[in-house]
Amino acid sequence: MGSNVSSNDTASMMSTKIVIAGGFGAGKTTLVGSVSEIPPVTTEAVMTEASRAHDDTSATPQKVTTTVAMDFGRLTLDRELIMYMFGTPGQARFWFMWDDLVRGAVGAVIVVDSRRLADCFDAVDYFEKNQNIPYVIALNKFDGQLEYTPDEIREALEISPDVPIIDFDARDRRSSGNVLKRLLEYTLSRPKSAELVG
Amino acid sequence: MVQTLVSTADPGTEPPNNLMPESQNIYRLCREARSVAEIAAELKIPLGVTQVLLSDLADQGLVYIHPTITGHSPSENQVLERALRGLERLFQ
Ligand SMILES: Nc1nc2c(ncn2[C@@H]2O[C@H](COP(=O)(O)OP(=O)(O)OP(=O)(O)O)[C@@H](O)[C@H]2O)c(=O)[nH]1
Ligand SMILES: [Mg+2]
Repeated sequence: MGSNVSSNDTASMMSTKIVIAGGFGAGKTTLVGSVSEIPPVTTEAVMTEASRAHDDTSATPQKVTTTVAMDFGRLTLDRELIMYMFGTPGQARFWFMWDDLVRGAVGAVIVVDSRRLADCFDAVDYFEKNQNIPYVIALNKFDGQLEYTPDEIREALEISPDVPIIDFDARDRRSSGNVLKRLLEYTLSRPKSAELVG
Repeated sequence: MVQTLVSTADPGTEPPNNLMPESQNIYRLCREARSVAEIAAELKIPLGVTQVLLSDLADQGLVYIHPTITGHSPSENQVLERALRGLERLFQ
């Protein structure tokens, strides 16, 4: 890291983010580690959740604080553009946290362990309902072979027809990098609409 | 947002000593641009607290908050295309 970065260079830097979601042990941390230029950092995020609408009678809004681990990695894409990757637990009970993490993301990768499809139901459901974040499915073939074909997986998980399903090996840098490329290509191919800000 | 980059507005200077120690550390750390998430991890301050300290520093003009690209407006497509070219270079 140069210490003589002029303030002009610094001021023109921009950042962007993608989210890596998926089931327990699916390979999220491995994916981030394969592509990141820094060792993947696992950080504890303390998140505050406004309480959901319960049917309790007290009118006082409650806040719940939870500590969760998230991984992040970094890629310098050109002199002025950095992309961050945020890996996040996939279970529905962390959805409140996804809202924070997903806000402003250019896209998401759902890592799927092809032997345990059910583990990523929650993640797929979340992104199918949040249509403004494009996502791709990255199928981690743990034993070098897929239990299901991509078509079977699309049907089983009720994934929209246009969502790319990509085979990959999370331990392999190029294979993981290819997933990121496909995500950006997909993001760029989607029609843009100004009302999707949010 | 967690990915937002922050830089110290005047990186050659020492932090004002009326700042809290945590804010002084942020000031020093951000002499090179860092993301909010990195600042929180490096200084071991919870993300929510980091965001509050940063917005106070920004209000005082001590740090600069960089733009983030979300890809939700047509004008951001150019930047996403640059991002894609960067990925192609890195992972060809
Ligand atoms: N054989 C094989 N092992 C893999 C592959 N990808 C990941 N692993 C291993 O599977 C285990 C789980 O991977 P992680 O990357 O930690 O998964 P994770 O999604 O971050 O898991 P949690 O954060 O615990 O939910 C690790 O021991 C990895 O080394 C793969 O493609 N093939
Ligand atoms: Mg993990």
